Amino acid sequence: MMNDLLVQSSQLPYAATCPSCVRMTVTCTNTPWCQCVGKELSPVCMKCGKCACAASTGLRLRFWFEAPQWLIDARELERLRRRDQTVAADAPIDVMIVDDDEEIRSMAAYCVQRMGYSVALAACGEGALKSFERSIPRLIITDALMPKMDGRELCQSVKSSYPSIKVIIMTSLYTASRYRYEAYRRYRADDYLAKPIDFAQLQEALQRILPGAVR
Amino acid sequence: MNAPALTLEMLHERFRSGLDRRLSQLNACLLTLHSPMDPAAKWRSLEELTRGFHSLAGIGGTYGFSAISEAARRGELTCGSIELPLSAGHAGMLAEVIESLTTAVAEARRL
Repeated sequence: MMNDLLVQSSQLPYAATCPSCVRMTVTCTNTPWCQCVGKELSPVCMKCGKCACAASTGLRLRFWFEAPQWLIDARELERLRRRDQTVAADAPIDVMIVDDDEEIRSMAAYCVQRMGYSVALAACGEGALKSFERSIPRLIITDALMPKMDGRELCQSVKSSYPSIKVIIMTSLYTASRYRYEAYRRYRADDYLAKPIDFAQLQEALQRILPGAVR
Repeated sequence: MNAPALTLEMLHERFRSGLDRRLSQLNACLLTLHSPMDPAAKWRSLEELTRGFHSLAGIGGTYGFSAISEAARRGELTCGSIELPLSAGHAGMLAEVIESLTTAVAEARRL
């Protein structure tokens, strides 16, 4: 009984300044961990939804210096769990979402994951192509307008090198039918989605392009 | 990078908390257009302003805030028709768009 109480009281939610948004946030036992590859593992802030990996060293160190022991132990456990699952993490993925806007990426990922597909994210065309070294997706959903390599170039590149990968271009540019035609004909996209994203349309497109994958 | 498991509440909270930053960026670009800076800097600001409106139009609708999306879309279309130096007509249109956006953002924060 006493041991139970001690365990519970030592795992009280940890209220601290988020190193990313510098606002007061709470970390508890079910707070998700970040997915940054090769970076320091840190919990995702409930306020800004970001981890501490990109924050300044001083703020990160302060966060961990003041962190309770249960959180430090939980981080170590998570590290061990991920090390054991490295092979599984490199397994084939269903859908890659490419958009330079993090909030669009996250919302699209949320919806695609809810449909039962595995999802990977990239912020630009180059990032998407580079990630093919680890795992090749069955479908890419890409924004058309992005800095550096944009979605249209990505689509052309993917269709030249990996013709089996399906590509959906999503953008508010392609609202007129001639633009839709251009997406199909010139960039060889398999489908196009207009922004703002209509999630019923996204679901319909996914079921059509990746049939049977919905769990 | 594999997608992190965020909840819908976290996504909405993050979107709402980022609205002020987006609005400040748009205002900063607008100030540059009005300031006596060199034309190249003004063109860059106009490009950034167009991109900011474009992004907000897409994301606002995606998160279900149609008033934000519509105001931002108007801003994007206005930017597309601007020639520098900024005319009084276009300056007025942009000011009106920013005002609509500020109202829509305040509304979104209240929800």
